[in-house]
Amino acid sequence: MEFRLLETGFNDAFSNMAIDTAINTLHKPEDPSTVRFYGWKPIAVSIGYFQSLKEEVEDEKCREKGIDVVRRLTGGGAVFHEKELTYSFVCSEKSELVSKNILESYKKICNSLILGFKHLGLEASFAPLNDIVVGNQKISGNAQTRRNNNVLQHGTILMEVDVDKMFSLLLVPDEKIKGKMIENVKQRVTSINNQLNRKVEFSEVSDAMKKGFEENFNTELVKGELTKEEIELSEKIRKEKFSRKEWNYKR
Amino acid sequence: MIKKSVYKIPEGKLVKISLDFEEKKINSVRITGDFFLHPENGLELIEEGLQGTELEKDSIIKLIQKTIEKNSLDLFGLNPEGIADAILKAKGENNGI
Repeated sequence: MEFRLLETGFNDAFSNMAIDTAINTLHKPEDPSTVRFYGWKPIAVSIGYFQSLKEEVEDEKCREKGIDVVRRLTGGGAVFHEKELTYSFVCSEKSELVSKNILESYKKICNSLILGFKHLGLEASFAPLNDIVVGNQKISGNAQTRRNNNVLQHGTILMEVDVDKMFSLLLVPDEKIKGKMIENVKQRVTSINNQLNRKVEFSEVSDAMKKGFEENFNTELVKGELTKEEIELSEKIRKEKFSRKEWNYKR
Repeated sequence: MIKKSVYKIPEGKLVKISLDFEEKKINSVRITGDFFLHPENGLELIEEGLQGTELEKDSIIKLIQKTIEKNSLDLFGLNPEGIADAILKAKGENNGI
């Protein structure tokens, strides 16, 4: 069966997380699986479901700079979203597209991106549990949740990375070693621009990733739109969950 | 008394603990970090399961294992022993993240 492709452009962090949630909530086994490509405007920090916002993020500084901070539905670490393509993928847990085994399903979905990177001229590989690397440097981080009998996986594809800026917004457990941590992350993280030595466009990356998903799942991604129900539910979830302190500061 | 710890689980993720305890008993514990746990509400079940329990490694591990089995939880980047060690580290340390 064909997949639905959503290109929802640039939205704020609360809308972005609400849209992923609404797609995952309303998805039925008979519906086509969905691939969504999106970006963040304003730039944003997302934290993992189990993290403490107060312990991870310079939230006052983010507020002053107009940077959104949002808790994700998915586990994992804090992510600074600036120059990247973000994707989300939703399918039924009952479908045979991905394994019930979580590690296997990460590997399967991430393979779409690895094939996409190939179209950009990059040799990438899967680094369990949830990263994609070029050489030994991370270029994509991914996170998955399973709710309502559906699989939701979303992740970042780094087009450019500014580690100093990222760490100016994140808290580290030990200030004394912050400098060392930053140097360490600079060694371990890369980006498409970095690897290709040129500036790629958002659309160039999304075109490549579209092909990657098509090849990986042996299907076609057909451009679609959010349904009326999805839009209404995402607006409700944005208002009642992701934009609220009760959610973002819950741990 | 509330104390905190930051503990890197061997081969796993960084776990942060906020522990409310008296003498040898856990009043409540909050576990945060960049790990994965499926389904996600399982972490609250683990935390609730530890309320009132003895601050002792084996009993903490057993209780966590019981919650994991009962609710078919999948943990990535953390494990019962790692959580227990992080909790005991919080007990033994001065308050300071």
